[in-house]
Amino acid sequence: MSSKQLKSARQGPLDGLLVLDFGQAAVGPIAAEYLGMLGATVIKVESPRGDMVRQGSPLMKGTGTTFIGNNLGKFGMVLDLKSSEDLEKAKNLIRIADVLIENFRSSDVMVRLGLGYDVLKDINPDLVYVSSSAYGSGGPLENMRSNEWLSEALSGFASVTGAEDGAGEISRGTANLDWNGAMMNTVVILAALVRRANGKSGCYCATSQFGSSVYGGITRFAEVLAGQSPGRPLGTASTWMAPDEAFQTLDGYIAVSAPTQQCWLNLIRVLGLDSLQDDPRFSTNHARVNARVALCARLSERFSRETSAEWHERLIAAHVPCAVVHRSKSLLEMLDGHPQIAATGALCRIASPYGPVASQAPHWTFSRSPAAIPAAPPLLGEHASIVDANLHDKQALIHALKRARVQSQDQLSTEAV
Amino acid sequence: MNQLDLLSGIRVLELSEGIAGAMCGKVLSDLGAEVIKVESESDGRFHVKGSAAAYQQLDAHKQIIYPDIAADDFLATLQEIFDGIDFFVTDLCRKDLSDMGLDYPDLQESHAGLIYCYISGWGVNGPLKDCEASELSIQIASGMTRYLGSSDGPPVRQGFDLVSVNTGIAAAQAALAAYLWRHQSHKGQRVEVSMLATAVALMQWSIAAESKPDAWQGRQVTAQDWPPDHGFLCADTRCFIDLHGNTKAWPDLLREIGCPELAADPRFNSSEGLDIHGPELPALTAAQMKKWAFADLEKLVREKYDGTIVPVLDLSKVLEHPQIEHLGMIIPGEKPTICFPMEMK
Repeated sequence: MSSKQLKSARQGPLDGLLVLDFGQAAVGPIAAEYLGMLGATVIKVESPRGDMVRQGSPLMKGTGTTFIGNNLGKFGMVLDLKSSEDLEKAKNLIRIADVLIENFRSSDVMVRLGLGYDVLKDINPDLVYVSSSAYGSGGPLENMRSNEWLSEALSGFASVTGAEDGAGEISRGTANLDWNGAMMNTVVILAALVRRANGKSGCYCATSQFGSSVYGGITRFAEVLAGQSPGRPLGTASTWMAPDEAFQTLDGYIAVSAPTQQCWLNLIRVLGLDSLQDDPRFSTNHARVNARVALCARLSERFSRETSAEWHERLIAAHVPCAVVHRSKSLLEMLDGHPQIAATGALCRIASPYGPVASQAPHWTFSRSPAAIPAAPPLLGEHASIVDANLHDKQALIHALKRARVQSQDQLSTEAV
Repeated sequence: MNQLDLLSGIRVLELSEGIAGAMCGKVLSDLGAEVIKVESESDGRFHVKGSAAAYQQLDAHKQIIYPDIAADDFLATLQEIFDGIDFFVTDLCRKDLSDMGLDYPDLQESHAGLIYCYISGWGVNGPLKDCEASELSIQIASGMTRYLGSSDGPPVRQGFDLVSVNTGIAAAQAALAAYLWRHQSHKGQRVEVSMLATAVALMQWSIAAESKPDAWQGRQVTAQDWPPDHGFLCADTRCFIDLHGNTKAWPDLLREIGCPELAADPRFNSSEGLDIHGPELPALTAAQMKKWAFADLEKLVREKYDGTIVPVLDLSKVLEHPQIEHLGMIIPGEKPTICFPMEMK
């Protein structure tokens, strides 16, 4: 994109806002990345050692894909917050910033560094400061460490995940609770910015990974609060809808759900089981949930006769929610091959010094203030000199950073050609 | 936890059937907005599916209204409600909305500042745009289930409805971002989220990992083929242990729990070995682990190795956990409700 194009392009809803990402790893940095997709200018502030996930496997040209995927579109600077000179620089930057997010294990870390909210609110009363800790401030777990797998165990996720009647298990290679935490942080920041837009000052918001994980499981905790049992692993089945699980076909598995009575009727028509319509055991969703085992036996027998692809085509034509379980392909091959993902542009490739990076596209669409597919992540300290030269003027800083982005993107596209 | 008022003054009209729409309203309501939810008392168009427990939580603090859909003045009533509404949140299909005169083009001119927040399952383009979606179908289609269960057995879903819940959160993000833009431009707009796009977003860690790695190392790209990870089974609970990269501590811990042969095993005394073989430890230590009470193991892991150990809690135990109580996440009462886990000052 040339600088002329940049100027004329429609801008994201957060254009003109300056966000400082003091985070590491996931829940803080991802939230900041989302704000960047929404148009904010995001500066990642790293220690001289860099974000710890820069080194985590797998690597692309030596840099961790976790770092790359979580820091797209940001500008980079390095501050050694234990040096008084850099601490002063941090405060100058915070003075012109709109948002600061950090996700140290405990919110005390920023306080000890001299960057607690009590100090910063005097420097910049309009600052939205989000502290995203592991377990929240105070309480018996205050200083304990957290990660995705510990969260999955402690939040109850693992107790309701696993093969039916087997032991609970954690997800081995996804970090969806981390991402859920980042989603929560993002909505908190936006709500605090709305509050500020409506005439209030900035504010301090403390979230926790533990709290966010439990909120992410709200539909399951609702069952316990309604007096039902605490749940157990059910394979692919659910507690409140039937059918809503995967069935074995001639060549694999297909997941099928009937969220409405019409879906149920369409499903049994496709399966050639219209007679079930009159079976009182299966007449309502509630009845089907209670008779799930008998129901699945009837449906399984039909599903086993044909391939997943054949069932998929017919079920989709009948508007029954379904999805084929693909195992042989890699995740990316599977996603790239999904016609719906291709048609909606949910997945994209981003040019970077490490090569093309596969990434989500922005997960919202705006009719008037479009979100943008982000640019490459920053090298460690890449934009330090630009930040240093514009420490006291937000608009000048944002402008200078955007100009640098255009130049580096021009260079990347030239290299690609 | 104090009642949050970040969104006080904002009025939301929710017309939704699924979890995602109800969750969007829940988030906005928890953050201080006034949320009006339109429902039908009959088995009509807006009938909430069953009396699923989820809706007791998601709709707890909303004002529920029951306009008579069959009445002649239904549309006029609803149009009246639209006056003063900032966000209209809906997950109904376009055709139904259009039939009711509630598609965006119907409202755009008469309510220029309205932020119209549309939630779909599969997105608004593409071959599946008119298909219903479910939590499970999107989990499967987005690959979220690839890292659960055994690779040669039946698939396993994630036990939390993370796609639906996060689609609701994403919808709230979009509405709030559009509100900030309206503040500058004085214009409303249509915003849209889908369960599929949200699920892809939740998968970013694994997606980026497969871009073009130098080597296929790291659990995002290797763990699909691992056996299910149930953690360690000690005398009274299953648990997970993390020594935070202190790989030198693993041999000591293994010796201490009674497995000296494993302590000397090269698979478990280097970070390279542990990266690959760590998942084998629960099975190999099973006989010794079951002799340990969780409390003793916890003391050992925390105090001697500065590690973290957590039990697998069932959902009741989570709600009773003193940390959840400390966070004030459950508003007690006849119908206890889960509130947004955030503290503000």
